[in-house]
Amino acid sequence: MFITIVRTIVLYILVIFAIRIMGKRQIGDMQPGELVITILISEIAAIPIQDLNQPIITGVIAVFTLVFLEIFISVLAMKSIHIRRFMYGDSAIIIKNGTIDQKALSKLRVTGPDLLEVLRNQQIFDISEVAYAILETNGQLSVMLKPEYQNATVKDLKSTATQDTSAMQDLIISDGKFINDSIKKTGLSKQLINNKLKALDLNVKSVFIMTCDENMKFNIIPKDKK
Amino acid sequence: MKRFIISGILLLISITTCIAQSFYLEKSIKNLCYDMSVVKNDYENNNDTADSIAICFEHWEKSRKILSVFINHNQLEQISSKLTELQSFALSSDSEFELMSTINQVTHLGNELLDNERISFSGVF
Repeated sequence: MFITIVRTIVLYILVIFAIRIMGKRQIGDMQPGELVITILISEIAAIPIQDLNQPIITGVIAVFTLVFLEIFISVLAMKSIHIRRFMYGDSAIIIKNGTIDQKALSKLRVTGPDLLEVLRNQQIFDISEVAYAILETNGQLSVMLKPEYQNATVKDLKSTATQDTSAMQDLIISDGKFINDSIKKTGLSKQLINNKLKALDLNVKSVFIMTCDENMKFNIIPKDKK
Repeated sequence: MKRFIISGILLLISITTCIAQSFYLEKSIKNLCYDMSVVKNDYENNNDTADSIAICFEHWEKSRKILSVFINHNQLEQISSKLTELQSFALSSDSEFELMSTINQVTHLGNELLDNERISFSGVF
């Protein structure tokens, strides 16, 4: 029985490694080929766990081969539009100027209620508001609203956004510990941070979160006192 | 590109492992078949087969330990159990048929194992 635990740990590490090599993507964002490879890898990894007569190396070799195929095909797809089309298909316009392209819908085997449901998920309750709706190759629907229904932007309001509101914040202390990479990135020194905390009668260990933005504006959240 | 190179290296390692395994399996099965022919000859020449079977078993057990890393353990276990049967047949004088039959079975199982691991149309499909 212990062999099952050891095999499971080995294969778990292997599968995580394989998925990391293939790159980060959520299940919903995967192309059809990537989804197939992910399912295959998990299935193959399960076989040596369940069947102790099966050598673990057969699973390892199969996983490595699948990872190579996935990366090789994605490299080919980057180079050739024909391979990209064959592997991932094309995106399709299914709504144009508020009118549903029924031919495209039936070709994609998407029903009217399905389309309405996806639109509702994107807070669109009236098809006539849609300028373009495109079904992407990963199955997600991209929607562009007609200009009159689009949200106003800062540019539309002719207002000026201050640098403060758009500055990116870096986490420099998390749960009482310095985040060295962020400190290096912001160009701060630990001494300066300590001085800043001292002025507020705090120390590093008493800070839950401390952030700093490009304008050297600090945001400090102390830990709750127990 | 980094990922492509890493996956390529992993594939190369896998292919190298497969090639090494094929060579080792072929060598082990050849040895097994040779050992079986020695047992057969010993029996036909009225020599004591117990020693040659023991040597054969020893050789096989050494190979089996390495082969079990690559090959389904059931297939290897079948050959091992046949060799164990062979050892018991060698001890009794009235089991000529069983002895010869088991020698042929071991040879057949070994060749079958080798065939299964070779890239062939029937093997792939």
